[in-house]
Amino acid sequence: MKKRQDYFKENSLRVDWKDIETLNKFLNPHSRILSRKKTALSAKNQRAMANAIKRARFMGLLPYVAR
Amino acid sequence: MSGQDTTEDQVYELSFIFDNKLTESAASEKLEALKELIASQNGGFISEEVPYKRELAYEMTRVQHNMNVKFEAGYFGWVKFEISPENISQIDKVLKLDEEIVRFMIIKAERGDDVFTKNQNIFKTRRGIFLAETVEKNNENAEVNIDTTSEMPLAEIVPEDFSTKENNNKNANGELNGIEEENKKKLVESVEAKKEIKKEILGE
Repeated sequence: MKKRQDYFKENSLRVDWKDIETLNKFLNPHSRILSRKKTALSAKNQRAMANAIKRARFMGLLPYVAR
Repeated sequence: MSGQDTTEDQVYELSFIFDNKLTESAASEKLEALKELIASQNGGFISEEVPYKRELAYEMTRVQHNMNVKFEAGYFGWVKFEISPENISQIDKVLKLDEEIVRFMIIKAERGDDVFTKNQNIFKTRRGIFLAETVEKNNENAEVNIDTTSEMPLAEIVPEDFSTKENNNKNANGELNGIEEENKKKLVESVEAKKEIKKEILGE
């Protein structure tokens, strides 16, 4: 199996909490943060991504819960 | 110890949600006032996003005149600036007292590419959250253009289709088979786009 690349590395993106279009890729339909197993991010970017999602939630850009 | 040479400036990002009862011009005036406040603390302006009205992902409350006021929308914007870390608490104090600011956040940031949120939007459906471009009122009657180049599906297709379908049923029952088929096609396309997203998310 081909080893999957870190999404942010692949697209040479920086994790930004305002970029909800990208962050939405790492949320499931209930708006919960996906695990590293599913996102295939590096440990560093997974932490940054989780942090960014929490910031976006605080500012009302992303929901805490969705049905 | 108060010499300016001893402490290096740090880049900060201040994001805020203003009361949605303000007018658009009042909101941008408020941003100007914030920038003046930053300048008064020897801060250097870097970049900004002008506040615009957007729906919040959930309901927020803010105390205004000793009353809990609920907000479902607000003017969102941000400013990036450079300031000595000693002075940032002064800005924080002033912002906390301003009741027209529903919520704000000051974080350490870096210089570099700015991400603008204006053309991103969350679209809530029964099935989940989707991203949609901000729908302008003028486009209500216009045809729906499906952008195959964009990564995200145009989620507004789904609700619009439902509404047009309802209207079609109300207007006439016959002779509308063609339109209904078109709607069905659009629905199928949007469903397929959603499947692609799911695949992307699950990495399959």
